[in-house]
Amino acid sequence: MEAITCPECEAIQPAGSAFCENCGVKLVVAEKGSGRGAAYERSRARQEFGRIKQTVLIVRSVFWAMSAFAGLLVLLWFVALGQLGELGGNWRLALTVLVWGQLAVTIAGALLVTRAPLVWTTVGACWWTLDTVLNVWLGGLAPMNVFRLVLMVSFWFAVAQAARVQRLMAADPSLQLVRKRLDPELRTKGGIADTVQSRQRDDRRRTGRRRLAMFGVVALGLVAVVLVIGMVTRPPTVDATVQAFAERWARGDAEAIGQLFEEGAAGRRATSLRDDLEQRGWNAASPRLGEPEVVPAEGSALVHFPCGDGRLSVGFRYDERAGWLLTQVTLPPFEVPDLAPGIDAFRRAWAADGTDALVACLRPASRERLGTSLQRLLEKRDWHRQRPVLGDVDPGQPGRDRRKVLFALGNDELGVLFEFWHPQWVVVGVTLPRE
Amino acid sequence: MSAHCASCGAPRPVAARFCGACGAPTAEHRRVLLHGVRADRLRTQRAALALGVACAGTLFGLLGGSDLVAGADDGWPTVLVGSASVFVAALAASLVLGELRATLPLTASWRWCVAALPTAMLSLAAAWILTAYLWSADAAMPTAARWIGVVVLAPLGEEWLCRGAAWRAANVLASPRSALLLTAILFAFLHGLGGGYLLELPHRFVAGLLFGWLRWRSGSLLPGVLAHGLHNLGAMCLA
Repeated sequence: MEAITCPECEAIQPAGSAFCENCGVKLVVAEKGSGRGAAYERSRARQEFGRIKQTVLIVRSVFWAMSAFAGLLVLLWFVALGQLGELGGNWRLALTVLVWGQLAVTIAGALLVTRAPLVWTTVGACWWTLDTVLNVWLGGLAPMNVFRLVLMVSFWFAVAQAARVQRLMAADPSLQLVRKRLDPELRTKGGIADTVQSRQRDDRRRTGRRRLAMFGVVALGLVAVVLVIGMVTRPPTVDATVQAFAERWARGDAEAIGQLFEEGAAGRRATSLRDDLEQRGWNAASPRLGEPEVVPAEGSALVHFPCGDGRLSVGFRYDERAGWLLTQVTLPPFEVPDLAPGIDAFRRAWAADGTDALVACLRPASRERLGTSLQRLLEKRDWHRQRPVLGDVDPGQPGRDRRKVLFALGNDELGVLFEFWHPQWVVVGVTLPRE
Repeated sequence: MSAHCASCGAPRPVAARFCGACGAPTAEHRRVLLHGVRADRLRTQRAALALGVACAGTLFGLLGGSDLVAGADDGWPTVLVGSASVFVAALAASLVLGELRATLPLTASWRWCVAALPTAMLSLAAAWILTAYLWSADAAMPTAARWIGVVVLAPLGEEWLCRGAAWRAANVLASPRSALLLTAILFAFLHGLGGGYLLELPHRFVAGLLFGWLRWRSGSLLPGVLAHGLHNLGAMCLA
């Protein structure tokens, strides 16, 4: 027997060979592309095509979804046109072209992506990238924008898949992304067309079920991803800060409580809180707080503590950098003692010789400043040794921690401003009658 | 020396790639074939990633840059930061593709350089028609920085990005004709950050097609850069 020359690659093959050992062409049928090598290539290409064509079909679904959204925008634009009235310049034309253009491009994408997968997937990827970049720029890395970024990267990988799909389709024209319709003449009842049709129907059902399952899995995955992102980016609960507040309160450490405010212990709100606590005598020994009741809100929380007979309300606000911050502390109302002993003490001090007893009635924190001023005024009227006798008194409105008391002084009045600073009423201001 | 086919058991020479009896590929040859497929898949993915880097990198760079120079006047800082973001995106895309030198073909015959002028006029006409009826951004004060930025730096950066790096990547993905379309699409979307959003795209797409055609036929970036520069110069003068 004679040796054979391969018609494909022209390699010399041993006699009796059915296939070329170099290129795999079937030697008895001397045709190009008929060998096992070519068949192997085709089979591999079909397998790969079956695997990656889903990507293009998903892109088509995305285009349909986008076109539904664009259609909604067109409807909204028609509604808006009636409300807007006249628009200056080319705005009306420009916006009309924009909304209709979006609709046209998305529908074209959905229809043509199966014919030219690479070009239309690239259009989708570019568009999505533009939208994502704008959203990230405007809204930062919110969970939805992180999701958009993930989709953007996926879109660019879909471009790679679309390129391979297009290449495989070009190499083997029998590979198509959409099924071709059967020729109507072939559709005879019970004939091969029916068999093919029923097989196709079964295929479609199977594919539909598979897609539905895949969609379910993807949807579950996305929900899980969004939940995880939400959990990671969610602010921590206010509990730790509430606990810290309660501990500092129990220690009676007003300075440490003030540090929980945004502006620190030296700020206006911290100073005001310290004054309030001092006024009630809670700076040294504060009353015990009960179990907190937290009322959460978006980025803030209001916490109520049972405190004696009343309720202490504390407001917190979440800051991304500093964490939970104290915004307000509302102390429970408190009962002030009777003012009468304070008024009596002032009468005695006014009737006494000299000004020392009077100055002793003033609030210790402002005694030096007010005392000097009062002494100067009394000296001016020559009242610094002996003063006229005080008459009847009008004790002002009861039940408040700050009261203005009026004493009759001859034909005029002496105004004295009292404030309750634990444990007694003290004088914080004196208005002498006109000279 | 001979081996046996794993499929049919027939003897075959060690050097054979297919079995002479049943035509099945040998295990070694199947590996070679698969290696080729994997290499091709990897190259395709790198090319797509390079396109993505070019697109997202430029858009993020432009917006990040505008944040960086927020408050500064429309002078050198704005121009330099904007141009730098385009150049950096082009460099990044070239590096992702792994073919930095191939993205910068600069040798061109003088005929193509001359052809840049009518191409620029065509693209300018298309831009004028589309902007006259749809959208035109407010003309900024023409400062020296702006002239240099628009007429010199923008053509250099954008042509390297679109007709250099992106063109090379698109050529890996598909035929030159498809590459022309892909780079024109990319070029159009990169201008979507202007005030007109998608209305900025149509005339940029037409210009992208024309500059891409120059790149395709001349095989060089230079005519495209010239045409782009002339187009921008004309647009600045008309504005």
